Amino acid sequence: MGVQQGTKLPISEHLPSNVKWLYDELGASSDIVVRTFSDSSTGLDGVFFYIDSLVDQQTINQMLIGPVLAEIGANPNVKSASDWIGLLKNKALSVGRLKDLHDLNEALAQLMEGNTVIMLQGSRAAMAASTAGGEKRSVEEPSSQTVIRGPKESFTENINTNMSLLRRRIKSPKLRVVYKQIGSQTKTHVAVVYMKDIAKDGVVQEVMARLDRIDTDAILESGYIEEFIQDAAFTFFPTIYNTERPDAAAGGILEGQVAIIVDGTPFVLLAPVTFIRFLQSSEDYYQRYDIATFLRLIRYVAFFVSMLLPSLYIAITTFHQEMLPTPLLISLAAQREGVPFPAIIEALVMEITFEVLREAGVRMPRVIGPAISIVGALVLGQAAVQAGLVSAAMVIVVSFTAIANFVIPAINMASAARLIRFIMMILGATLGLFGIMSGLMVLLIHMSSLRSFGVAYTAPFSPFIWPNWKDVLVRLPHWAMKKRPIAVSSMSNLTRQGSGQMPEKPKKLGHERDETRESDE
Amino acid sequence: MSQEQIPYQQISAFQAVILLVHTITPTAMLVIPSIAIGRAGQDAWMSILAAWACGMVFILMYSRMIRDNPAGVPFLKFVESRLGRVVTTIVGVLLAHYYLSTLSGIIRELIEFLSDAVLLRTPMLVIGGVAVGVAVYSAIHGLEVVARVGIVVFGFSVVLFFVHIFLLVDHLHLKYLAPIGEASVNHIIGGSFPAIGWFSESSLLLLMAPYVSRQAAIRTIGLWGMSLSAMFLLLTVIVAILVFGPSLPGMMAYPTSSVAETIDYDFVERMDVLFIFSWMSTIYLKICMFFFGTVHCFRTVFRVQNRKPFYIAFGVLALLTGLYTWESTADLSEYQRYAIVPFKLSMNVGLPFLLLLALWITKKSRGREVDKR
Repeated sequence: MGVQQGTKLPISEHLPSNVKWLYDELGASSDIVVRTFSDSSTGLDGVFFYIDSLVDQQTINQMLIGPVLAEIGANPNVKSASDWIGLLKNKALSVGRLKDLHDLNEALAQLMEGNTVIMLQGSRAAMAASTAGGEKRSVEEPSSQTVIRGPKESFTENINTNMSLLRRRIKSPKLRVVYKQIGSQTKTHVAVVYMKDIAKDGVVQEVMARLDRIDTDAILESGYIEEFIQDAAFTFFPTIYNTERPDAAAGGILEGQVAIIVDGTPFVLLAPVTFIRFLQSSEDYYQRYDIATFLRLIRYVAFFVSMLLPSLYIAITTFHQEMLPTPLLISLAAQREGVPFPAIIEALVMEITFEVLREAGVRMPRVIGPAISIVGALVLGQAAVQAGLVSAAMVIVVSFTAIANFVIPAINMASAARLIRFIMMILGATLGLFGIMSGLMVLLIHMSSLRSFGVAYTAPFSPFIWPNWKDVLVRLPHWAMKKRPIAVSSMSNLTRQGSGQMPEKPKKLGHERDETRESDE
Repeated sequence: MSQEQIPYQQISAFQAVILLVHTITPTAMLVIPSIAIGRAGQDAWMSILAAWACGMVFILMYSRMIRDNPAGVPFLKFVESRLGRVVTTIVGVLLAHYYLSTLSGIIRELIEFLSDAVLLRTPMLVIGGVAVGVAVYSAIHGLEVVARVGIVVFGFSVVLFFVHIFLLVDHLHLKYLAPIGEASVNHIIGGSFPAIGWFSESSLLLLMAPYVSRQAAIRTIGLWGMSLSAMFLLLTVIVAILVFGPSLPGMMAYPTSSVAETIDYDFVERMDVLFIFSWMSTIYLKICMFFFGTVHCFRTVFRVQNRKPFYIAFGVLALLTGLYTWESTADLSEYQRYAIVPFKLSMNVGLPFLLLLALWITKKSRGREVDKR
């Protein structure tokens, strides 16, 4: 169920009763404006009805009120209300979007959208003119998904701005947009965007069906929608990707993903998605492929480090000391000599301290932000080691784990790694590497059982899809990636570019002179 | 989702090959080198090759049996349609018993190995409990998920397997393989028996086949799975001989892990622990496959609809059987050396052979009836 529409309530010919009904429904709020106009010579009586805080005042004055008042007295032959409606629509009202209304509930919905309702005495029809306004943030640089090379634009909270950012990137008539309204109170606009013939029809239908099933009073951010429509209710792993980068969204759409843009948030959802997508950055496609591949491999390593390093440290120092070379073992033992806690307690204390610092860093006012780093680095790091509460090795482990976590491009996947880390630490402390290995097996089984809108989450690792490997661990040059990813894109339209585009050394043309030989001569 | 709903629980040919490898190799690589090298000395690799030839014959037999099995129909249902309910019940109960017994043996092998190699003080119940818990969690998700996990685990374990051989380069002595052919044929055949027993575990193909998306490729799947398994086993045996010579491995409980223990570089020691844990992930899959066999036979024979509770019940049963059937490691070792191979062969080769004969006879008699009509 999308919008909670009320019953039909026809617009009456009696203008004051219509105005009174709308006024009462809106609770006689102070920001309601009812601007009347009349023409005594023709008997015209009408109102502009709008909510001041939602409209663009300039549009109303210049495009609605001004032209309408100019017509008053200029058309003595126009007598009936229906003729006036026709005249206003075809001549006076100079706005792009104008909608005919016959129902008061619909008129109310249009008012809530920021539109202006024009009603006339004696007419059962009214009009809604598009006058939505209000302050909105300009397009700025992305705050959470920054790149060195690549577009510096970010989505904003305004759905129309976001749509224009996408439309400007994909100028194809096959780009399809379906608008929905979700939330009985907030009536939030949601746009489903996909490429016809590239997105799988089944996925598009499934997205629509899941969105239509949402029955809630409010959608304030795309996170609400994500929780309603994701495949698995109980999992650490996100099965829907989110981005604030228009280029990333466009890239996803061009590979067959369906974008869900929610009014009021710059974070756009993309589905279906596989696990590896969360370790890819849009910059991978803007940088040269060699460095992009290297960075991608670093990210895979960082993901495992951020999930496993503390638990491996605990397991090896507690259960499998024989794995360490003797000098390192002696050094670690010497460091831990004065520490009163077992490795697991030491690690938990440090990890929780770091999480507290991190949370404080996010919540604290920016001006006192640097204080956090001083407190973290000096008081809780150096001082704790000097006081003998934790070993220096543990500080290194926790710090490196924390830094590795920031390497993961998708914050929701980084959060998953953060949570899994604690479980792994407990497993490592109780069962050593056997516990960690068992935990990893459970994770792998769980991930293998996940699907995102019908697509296996672990693809292309398993099920093994060899053609997709051009863009998994490595990123091959663009000319080598002739086809779209098989798991996500429609099988009927996989080819995205022509073959044989590998750059070659140009053959020497006849008129070109051999500069070298000439200079020698 | 029921296992019988084929369109959902469907595995690809490649996944089936990998599952077959996981069904055979994890315990084979642990147990067979000691027995095979103990009997055939430096010619143990010939024993593995002989066993591989037998394994290929088994695969031909299994693929012949399921040639008439319609896609999507579980093997025992197919047997029931041809040989009747009584025969199916007997076969199903025998197979369920075999899979459960073997499952307990595998769990006990895992426990013994981990207790012996790395977790010296951890109670056996805890090790077994965790292993069974993970395997049950996996098996509950169905064959499709197990197959997907199998691909990832196979990728990692193959890389580690070859890295481990590469790291052993300094310790490999080719001279240990000479003189070639010193062992008598009797010894070589004697050394091949355990491997033949393990290769016969490929009979799980009979139960797995209806879930494979490419029914026509079952024989190829079986042959590839068998050949890959034989290759890994062959490499394991050869490496054990090259590192320790023809005499020592026969006296070791687990020569495969002892080989990994010899890896020693200045910056890292006891790399065997890593290899042990990568091996452990493969044995989880083997346990899953035998869980699948046990529950599948049980459900088909007793026509049980809900499978999840039975995974848990059989998990507990297999764990307790594994813990308390063999009083000591020596008992387990004796069972592996003498009893397990005849048991495996009777259930994986003898029983299917009888079934094949019966299916052939019924097919013939049906054909005659049709001709008469």
